[in-house]
Amino acid sequence: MSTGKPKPVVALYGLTCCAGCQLEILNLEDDLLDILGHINLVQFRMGSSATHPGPYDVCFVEGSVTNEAELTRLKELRENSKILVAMGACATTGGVNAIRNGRNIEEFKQSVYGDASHVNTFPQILPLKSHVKIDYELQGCPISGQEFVEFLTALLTGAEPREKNYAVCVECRMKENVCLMKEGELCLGPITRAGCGALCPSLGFPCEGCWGPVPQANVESEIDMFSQKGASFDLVVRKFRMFNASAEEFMKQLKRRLNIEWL
Amino acid sequence: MALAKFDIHHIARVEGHGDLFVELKEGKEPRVEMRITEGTRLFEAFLRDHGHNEVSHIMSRICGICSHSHAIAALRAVEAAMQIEPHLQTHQLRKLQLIGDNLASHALHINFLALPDYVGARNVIEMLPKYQEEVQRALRLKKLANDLMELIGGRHTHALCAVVGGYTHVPTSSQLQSMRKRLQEAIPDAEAQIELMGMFAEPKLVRRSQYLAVKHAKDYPLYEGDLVTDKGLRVPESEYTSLIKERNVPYAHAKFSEVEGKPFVVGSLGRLNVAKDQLSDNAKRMTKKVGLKLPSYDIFQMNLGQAIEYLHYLDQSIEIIDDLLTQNLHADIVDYKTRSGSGAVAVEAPRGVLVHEYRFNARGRVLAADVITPTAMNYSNIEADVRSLSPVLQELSKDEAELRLNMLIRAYDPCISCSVHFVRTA
Repeated sequence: MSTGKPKPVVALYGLTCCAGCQLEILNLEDDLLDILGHINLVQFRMGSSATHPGPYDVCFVEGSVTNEAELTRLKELRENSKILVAMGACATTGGVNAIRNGRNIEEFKQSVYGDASHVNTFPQILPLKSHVKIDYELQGCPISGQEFVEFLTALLTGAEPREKNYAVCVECRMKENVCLMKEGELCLGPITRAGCGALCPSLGFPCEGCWGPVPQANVESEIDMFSQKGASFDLVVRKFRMFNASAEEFMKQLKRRLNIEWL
Repeated sequence: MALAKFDIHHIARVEGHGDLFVELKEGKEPRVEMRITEGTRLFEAFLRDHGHNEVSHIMSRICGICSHSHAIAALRAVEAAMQIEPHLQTHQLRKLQLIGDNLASHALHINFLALPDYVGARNVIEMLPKYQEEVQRALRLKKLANDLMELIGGRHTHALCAVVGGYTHVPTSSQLQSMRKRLQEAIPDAEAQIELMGMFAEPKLVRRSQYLAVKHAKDYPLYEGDLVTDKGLRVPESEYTSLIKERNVPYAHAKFSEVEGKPFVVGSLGRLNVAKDQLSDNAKRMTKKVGLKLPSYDIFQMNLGQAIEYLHYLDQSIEIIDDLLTQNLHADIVDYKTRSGSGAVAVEAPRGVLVHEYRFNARGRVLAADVITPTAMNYSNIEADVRSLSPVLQELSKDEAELRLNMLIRAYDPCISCSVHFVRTA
């Protein structure tokens, strides 16, 4: 497809994370060269020593802001980008980085480093949208390469990217899976946004919620179902916090329902 | 007065964020600092109180590129702590996952991260016009590895089917058969990759260090064994702290390590220098063909070493699949009793020895965790290499010297987000 229009200038950035989302893009082996033919990828530190100061038409950011330097970087990227996309659980719901939230960060640092005076890190990890305006979010831990391609295609063709405003359960039903909740498992599928194709439940593993909250998630009913299955208070909290400790939609209701001060 | 100073900010084409600072001084030891600026992640701290069956999925998130290695190391350590003995098929499937991790990471590093420097490009896109076939081959080799990981683990990054005691889902025989066919058909590509990397004899940096790998009686380093150095030191994996000593440095969010007070090397040269006799026949033949003499003390040969290992692990994966095809594969998780205890294991991640250790209470909750990553193990040796490179650096132009330093660091294939934050808790 050549429209004669200049290719959009695209940047990929990583903040603190495992780099798995950038890797999912590199893992699109069949489509990678095709994608690179349609965009001008100018900044991709993990794969290129070339640098480009911007401005960018589209900038994808994975990872969490964990210190002042990263916050400054994110603000610069916002200034320099027409469209800023938060990519993956660390950027959209805090991911595993946010499990620290509400805990004693000084004790955490000390337990890992002993003398931790050289370690500079924020006690709370927030979604990128709490720091700067974010135009779009791609969810998942890691993101789905297929969703990335769909998103990019929409942007390139001028269409509005489609949000999946329904739960993992919908995808799971369409695959005609046996419901793991009915088998006694604690599955976050009913309140988690679709997009993964119900990957985990299809392979016999209950959903861990890495795509984040589906709009209007009935969190209270999910908590009640978990409790009826005999899940301890602690286990319910851990399930909700594994990838979503800074997803407000979950934490607010969890705090209210279980009356937890520190959340 | 400083003769020359290099301050390389955010080393490119490596995973994560690190800077290198070098100051060459007249008549003095050069000042060399690997400044690891990646934000700290505190895994060992926030892991505490989690259930033993949550550990592998959380620790997988330490690193996207070697997520299977972290997950498998975590599972083995949990099982060691609770004296759980999974069935043979589980061990074999895990070996396939680990091989997939090594193959994918090696293909990525050799072709996308290291190779551009050798052909005067800044990235794989710039290589395309002249090296179309090499790039296509690299994509094939990488895709094959990703598909292997997805087939066994359920997803190429952050696998999900491998759990404490077994698997929630296993591939069918026909899936394994078609994967076996693809692995077999990839051998010519893997050999071509070795010949390509064998062409680059320069630059060199020959400095005898110590080399460490997870040595097993039967197999080339991968899934389990003793920690063995080329100088003959040997300890069981559970006693890693008696061999590897860690220390904090003020300029890095990662701990540095030494063996007997000296730097050491893990990764492809670590494994090859300790276990070259265990390579597959194909891999031995190609090693000879490209003229790589083992043991090798030239750190730039880490790249060629990975290419040789790609072929070896292909051969090994075919053997494992042949064995699995004789068994009646089924989703299988052994029964076990949650109990208190501690377990420490070592596996070979793409970048080298990876140690995981956990301690649990009687309810199976994490009391303490310790992870030492291969990249953190290599930092001290990287600094020693940079120091020994200083006479050469003074002869090169500033740009050439910076490129040489970048190439040196990239030869280690560092995974910086892995390396931050790992030390014993409590």
